[in-house]
Amino acid sequence: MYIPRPLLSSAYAHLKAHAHSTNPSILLLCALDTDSLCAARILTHLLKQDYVPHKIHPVAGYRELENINKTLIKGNEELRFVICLGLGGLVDIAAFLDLGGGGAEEEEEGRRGRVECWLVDVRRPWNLYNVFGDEGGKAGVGGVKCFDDGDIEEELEGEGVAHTLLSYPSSKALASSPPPAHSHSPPSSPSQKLPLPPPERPPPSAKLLRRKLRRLRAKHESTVTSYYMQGTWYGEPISGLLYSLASDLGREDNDLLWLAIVGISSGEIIGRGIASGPPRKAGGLGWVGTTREDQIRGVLRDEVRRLNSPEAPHPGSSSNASSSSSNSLQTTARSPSDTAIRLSPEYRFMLIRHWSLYDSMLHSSFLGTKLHIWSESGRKRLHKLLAKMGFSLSQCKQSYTHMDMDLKRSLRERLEKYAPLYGLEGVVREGFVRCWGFRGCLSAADVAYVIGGLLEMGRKGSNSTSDSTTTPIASSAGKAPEAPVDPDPADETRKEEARESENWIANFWSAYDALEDIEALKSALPTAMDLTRAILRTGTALIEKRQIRRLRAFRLAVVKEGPDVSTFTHPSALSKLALWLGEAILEQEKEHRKKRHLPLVVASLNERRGVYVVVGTALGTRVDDEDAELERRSGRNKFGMAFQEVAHSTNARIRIDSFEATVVEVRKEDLAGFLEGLSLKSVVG
Amino acid sequence: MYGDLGLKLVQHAKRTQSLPKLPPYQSDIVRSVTREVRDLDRDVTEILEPFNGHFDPAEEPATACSLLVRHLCMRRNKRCLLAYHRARAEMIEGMCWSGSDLPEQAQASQNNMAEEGAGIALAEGSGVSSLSPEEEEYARQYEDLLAAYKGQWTDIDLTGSLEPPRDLFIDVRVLKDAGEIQTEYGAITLTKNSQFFVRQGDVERLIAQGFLQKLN
Amino acid sequence: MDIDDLLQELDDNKVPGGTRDINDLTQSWIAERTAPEILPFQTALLERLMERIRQQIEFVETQTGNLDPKTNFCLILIQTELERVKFLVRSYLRARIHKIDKYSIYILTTPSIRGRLSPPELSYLKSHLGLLNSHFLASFLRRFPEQLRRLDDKAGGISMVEEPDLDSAVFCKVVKDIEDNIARIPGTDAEFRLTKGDVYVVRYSAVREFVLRGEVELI
Repeated sequence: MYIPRPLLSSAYAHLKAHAHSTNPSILLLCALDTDSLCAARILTHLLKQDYVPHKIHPVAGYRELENINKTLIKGNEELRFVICLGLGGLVDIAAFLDLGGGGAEEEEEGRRGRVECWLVDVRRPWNLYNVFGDEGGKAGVGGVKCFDDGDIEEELEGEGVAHTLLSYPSSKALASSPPPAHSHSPPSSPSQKLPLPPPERPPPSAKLLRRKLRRLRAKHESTVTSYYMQGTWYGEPISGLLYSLASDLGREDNDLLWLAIVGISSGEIIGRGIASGPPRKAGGLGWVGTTREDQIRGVLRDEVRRLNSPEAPHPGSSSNASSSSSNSLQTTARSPSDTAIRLSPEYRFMLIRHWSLYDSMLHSSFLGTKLHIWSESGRKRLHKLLAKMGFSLSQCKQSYTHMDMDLKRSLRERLEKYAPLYGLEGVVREGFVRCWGFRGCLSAADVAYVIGGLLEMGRKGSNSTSDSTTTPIASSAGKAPEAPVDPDPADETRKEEARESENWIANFWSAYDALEDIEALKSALPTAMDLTRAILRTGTALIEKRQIRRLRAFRLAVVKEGPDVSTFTHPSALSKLALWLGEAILEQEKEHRKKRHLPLVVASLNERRGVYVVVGTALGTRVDDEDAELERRSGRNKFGMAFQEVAHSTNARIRIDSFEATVVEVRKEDLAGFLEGLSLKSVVG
Repeated sequence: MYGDLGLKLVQHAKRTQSLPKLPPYQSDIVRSVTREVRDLDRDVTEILEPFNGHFDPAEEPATACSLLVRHLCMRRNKRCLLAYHRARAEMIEGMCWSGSDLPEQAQASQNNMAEEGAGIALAEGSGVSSLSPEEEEYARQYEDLLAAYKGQWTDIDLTGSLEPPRDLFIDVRVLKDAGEIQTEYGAITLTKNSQFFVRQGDVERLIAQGFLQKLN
Repeated sequence: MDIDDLLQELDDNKVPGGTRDINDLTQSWIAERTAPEILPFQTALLERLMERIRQQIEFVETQTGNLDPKTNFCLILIQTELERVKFLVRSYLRARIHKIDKYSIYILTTPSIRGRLSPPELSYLKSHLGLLNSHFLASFLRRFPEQLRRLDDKAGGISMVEEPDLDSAVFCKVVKDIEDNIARIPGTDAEFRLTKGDVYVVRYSAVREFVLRGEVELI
């Protein structure tokens, strides 16, 4: 079942009432992305204020989720709630986890009651079994409950009816038996999970009735299928959803708001266009706006204003001075105890407060892709822009905080004057910035970059030890390039996988800690810069060397050499690269007045494990002006389905483990076969 | 020179007090010092033999002096040995209080199963127990004594933290798999890489033993 | 309803005088940690406290299933308070064990002091000394000449028995009006008058009698 937005707070009350008060009976499973991380922080804040013991466990992928099911969920008598943050929405979770309560099982397990599972996931489409299956948990604890950001309530009515009728064809007869069995191994396409309605006894008399029924079923089936066939897309960031829970409980404060802002900003960075959903009609916090993104930003803006009292004008300073200070970026706090969140005009540059203006422009994907920064002429264009603005390169190349005060003050005005000449409209837009006394001042986007960097690359130096082990494995791979001969390598691969996910989990905790520790955030700034440099460097190399191939159905870029190969073995890092490349290609094609854009597939070699990590991106996710609805739908990413279909129709050895449906792993030797299979699927909308 | 070895023992004892781990038992020095005492005692007996039990210090000042020196040396050696053993015994007692399962670890090391990080009682890298057999016996017996005394105060958990409690619940991160542990009101499964918000009293031991890390 | 009301409600569950017991425990704990010698064991006080701790734990156990948020909050308060009291008792007992270990022979051989231990403490002390004795014997004393095997030697001018330094300085406060209120500093002619409310830093030996009578509190 699902929990509509206005009822989130009563769901929380239900949780509080039924959770064990001295022993952790709540298991929080958290995906390894910034939004989920922020959501986990918000939820644990609430639980702590209520003295509700709980446990947090980060989860890298479906395989680990299976392990957790075996070790922590199955047969765990203390457990009452499993809360999935940023995972589980795409699969039938009740079939995946041992939540108990399934008829015979319950008798076997005897003492243990049912476990209730909450799904708080940003990924769409919802698996309809999660949303419309099993309503039995209404009274007590139990069942699967999806947090609805509005999608279900406003859009899924038809699908709900169709799904329910298909699952329980003659509801009276089958009401007591469990829903039909369906496959629950992760690498199976959602469309295949649609249960074939069991052959039912025809009503005694009417042949006509049967035909009518069959027609009806076909209609419902097509409703459900077309829901899944749209591809994958994203709903509202879950950190925002949990913030509205906190707000419904009257427990919102600046810390929680900041977490929500960071979570939502991170979605924008990694290209989770929330514009793929329609603007909310009403409800929730009473949002109005043109796009969903605007609505969410609007709410955040209002919350910032509400929770942070407007600045009292500085005594003694003239009104003139204060107005000019609002023109330049805020880089220091107003007082040692100043931890306010402020609205501020933010440039779409990278980490400008902590870098030089030049670097922060150079590494901005917004600016870079529009100026064609990968080419010599593109970089000249940047220099020319700066020259027109009257900014000398030597000034721009020193750290922003030390730049000439006059330049900083005039930056916005001059930028806005000259930006249109380069197609850079919208380079300044409203953003959020927070200070931690005199210890530092970061924008929400900065924090999102840093947290992302930590998740993908880890603390500096923590990976250096594992890097040193590269050589022996690489050399042995060079010796025997094709299939593993002795049984050892498979073992080695598994160990390597374990080591990799171990690293990712360690990164998760670094990021978790840094989220509320300004010093850790500051010290991780270089990590974020390294990641951006790697993206610029690799992206430039791919475009300059014309290594992005154009195939029939999609474009393809493969990263298998260069200094940054190991960086892009992390799917999220690779997704960021794909996003940068995608934007660059889009800009190029727009100049050539192309209307249709091929999607982009980026593969990156993980030498140690002998696999390619493959990411599929749909280009043009941004909603432009006309025909938003159509554009939105076409912006949905079809790669998830295509990957699964290829996995079934070819012999390529493929692993689908990531919660991100558009990420797969393909054995090094099978990449060609995989791509061939993929090109036969229609992945373009 | 008489007393040199004794001095060495005292230095060991002093150093032991500031070490995080118990260093290996100096059985060679202990044996030598003990032998020294026996030698001195034999000297005394030999010196006194001619007098047949009628020794008058006033008549033989030189003999009396050498006897006195030998007596003082013996006592000094005894004090050194006592100081050394006492200091180590206190360390062992401390381990019993803090809950590092001492005898078991000593055994594990004898079986050459010394795993990384488990070596509180291990000599560095040697894989041999740093306890003498007598000390292992002492540790076992003290453990029993402690258990008996603790048994009088079951509700208090005498070996619990001596830090005043600040919060009822705390955040802890699991550093090593610790399996299922029983708490006052139920059971918790501690798996590596997870984080808990739990009652401080339930996990204090595991924090002290290095299974959990307390946050903030 | 505010916190005071809730606390009031909690107090209703307790036997009267509970608060005083906690205060007494706190005082005994401080005194035990500051006094150089071991002080008389607070038998009656500890008995009362342990009984109440047991009751409270039981109460928490039975009420844990209760879903009323108000009860839950009460339970949190009770548990927090429980942890504090448990800490006080634990720290009090551990401070005593520390002294018992340190001055074991002195305590055992001084009847007036020995009587200050609780029976379990006394048996712990005896067993511990026995263990140490046999440990030393097994480790090296057994190879010693007969006359050198004793552990309480005083020969050679240095006593092997460690005694508390009663002349160490303590902070103390006079809490009662005392009739014979002249305190003398042993070994000197110095005298001073103890008036209620006074706070002194002084040798423990000077106020020892008053401390044991409860007229002066160590702080």
